[in-house]
Amino acid sequence: MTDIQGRWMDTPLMGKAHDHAAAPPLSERFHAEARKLTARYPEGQSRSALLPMLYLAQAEQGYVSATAMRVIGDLLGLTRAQVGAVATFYTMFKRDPQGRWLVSVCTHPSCALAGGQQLKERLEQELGISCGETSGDVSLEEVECLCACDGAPVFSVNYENYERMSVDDAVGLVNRLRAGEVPPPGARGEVPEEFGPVNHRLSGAEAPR
Amino acid sequence: MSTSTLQETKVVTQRFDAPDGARLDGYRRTGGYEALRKALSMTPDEIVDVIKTSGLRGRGGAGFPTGTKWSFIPKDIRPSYLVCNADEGEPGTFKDRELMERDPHQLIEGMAVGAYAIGSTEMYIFCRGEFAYAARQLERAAAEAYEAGILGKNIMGSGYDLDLIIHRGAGAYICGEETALLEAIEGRRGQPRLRPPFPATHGLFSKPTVVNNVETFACVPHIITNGADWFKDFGTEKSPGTKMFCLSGDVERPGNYEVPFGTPARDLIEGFAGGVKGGKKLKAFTPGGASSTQFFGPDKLDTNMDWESVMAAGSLLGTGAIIVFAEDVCMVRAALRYTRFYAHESCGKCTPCREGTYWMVNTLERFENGQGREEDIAIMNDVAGNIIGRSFCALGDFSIAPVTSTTKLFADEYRQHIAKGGCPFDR
Repeated sequence: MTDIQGRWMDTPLMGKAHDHAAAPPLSERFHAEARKLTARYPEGQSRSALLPMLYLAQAEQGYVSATAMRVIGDLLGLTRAQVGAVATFYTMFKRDPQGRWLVSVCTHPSCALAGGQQLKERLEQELGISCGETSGDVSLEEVECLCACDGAPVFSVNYENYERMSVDDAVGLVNRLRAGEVPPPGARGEVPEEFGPVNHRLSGAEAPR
Repeated sequence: MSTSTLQETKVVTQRFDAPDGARLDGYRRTGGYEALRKALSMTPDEIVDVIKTSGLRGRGGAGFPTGTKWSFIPKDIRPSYLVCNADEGEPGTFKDRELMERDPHQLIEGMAVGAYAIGSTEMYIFCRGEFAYAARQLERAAAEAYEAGILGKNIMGSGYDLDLIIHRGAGAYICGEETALLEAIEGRRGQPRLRPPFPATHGLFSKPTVVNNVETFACVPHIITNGADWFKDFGTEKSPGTKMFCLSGDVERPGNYEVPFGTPARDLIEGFAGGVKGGKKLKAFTPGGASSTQFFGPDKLDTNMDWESVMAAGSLLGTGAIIVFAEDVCMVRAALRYTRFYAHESCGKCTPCREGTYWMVNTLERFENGQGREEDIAIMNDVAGNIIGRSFCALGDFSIAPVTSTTKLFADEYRQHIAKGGCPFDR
């Protein structure tokens, strides 16, 4: 992951070639909340705050940059390899900058039988990208079962589910996101937060304890 | 069977239709937190005894007796931890998500009873990362519970302190495996641990730990309130209580249906779920999600849905996820999608699972792409035979089911792919 001088290298594991140094520096707020999150866990177990901190960094930078991994490693007394191994294991930590809206499409059989596969292909066509890529405000990904199969076909925008929509309606919704609009309420009646705030919440910083 | 007489037996889903059942006021108005009040007046051993007597078994797939699990926690080692496995990810399953979205206090109350019973003052909910709305509902409920003195110091004036931490997953099915889940909370890659030692003695932070599924905890308040005998009146002798079954795929009315264990699959598929969509014929269904060891054909529709009966019929009840496939569905394609799932979710720790799932996907793709050969059927089963029993955890063992099951039940479909030089189905 690092070259012989200890510099981060862009490898396939680290995402596509882009300038990690260009990621905005982590703020004072990040450091304050990182300390607060570490204090949630028992003494001597600060490493438990690793996943939460990766979410916090992603909230600020739109992905987990190499710089963020180094900062977090320093805060928790972990090596870059230890942080990198975790950051690259979990699919929700992104190694490339994401758009405001992450659109995740399920193609598992329950969804595929209801048009999930066609939806995925139509969205790739409309956006002119493949799953795993970003076009403007919209990042697209294919996901494993979202466990909302009664609402098939299921896709989510920043993890807020949209269910039982026709392929045409779903494509229409994503096109509105590309045009800079905010998505309508999802299947549970609430509007998705943007990628940053969603990751901030995932960190646990807003949980009661 | 007459559909007009079908009625759900709502225990853990009884508040789903209450307009504010997910909020503290509504929860309390419908008897909420009375079980915790009662439990706090009992001794921990009395609680464990009631749960043991009730016969409650874990709803996460394995069906291990919950009271027995709680009784394994040593009394002389503290702290101990209570952890809720809310990392629902089994394809076709969507019960835990709905339980958290529509009745989050019920989960918190069940956990609080469990924590008190095992002498734990710190509880964790490991909630799947993608469950945005469910997690917000949990956080709102936890905030209300803290505000009302149900969590925090001296809960409900009992002198007992109890904290709840909601720890989010980050996208890894394997974290539904309890030791991988504990690894994730400890800030590591979600890879299963070698056992023994078991979590009961060396769990979270190497301390005694109980890990139970969301639906399991949801049963607990009702058992405390109504007694073990009341609970045992539902279901079968060895599978007591009710179960949420998740119906999806080609059915008219997909959804969660709570019924007593032992209800025939036919009642669920043809009754509650309204039968196969569009009046088509049934080709197959999973009795317990992708990780059932065997798909069932129409001949298994009269199987009673409890752990023993499903196993006797040759498969596993698992999480109770019934995915229905109509007559026109390509089972090779279905097997490919499920196997791709296992290949993607294999944590990479052990070779048989990591490499075997890759090669099964590779070979299944050949059939879909028109390059399948007769000998590939045997090759895939050979690969499968080298995964099962040689993997570190159950993910590997279950990963072979789509291949072994479809090559056995639907071998003719594989041959149709070979004959046609591609997939003969539209869906």
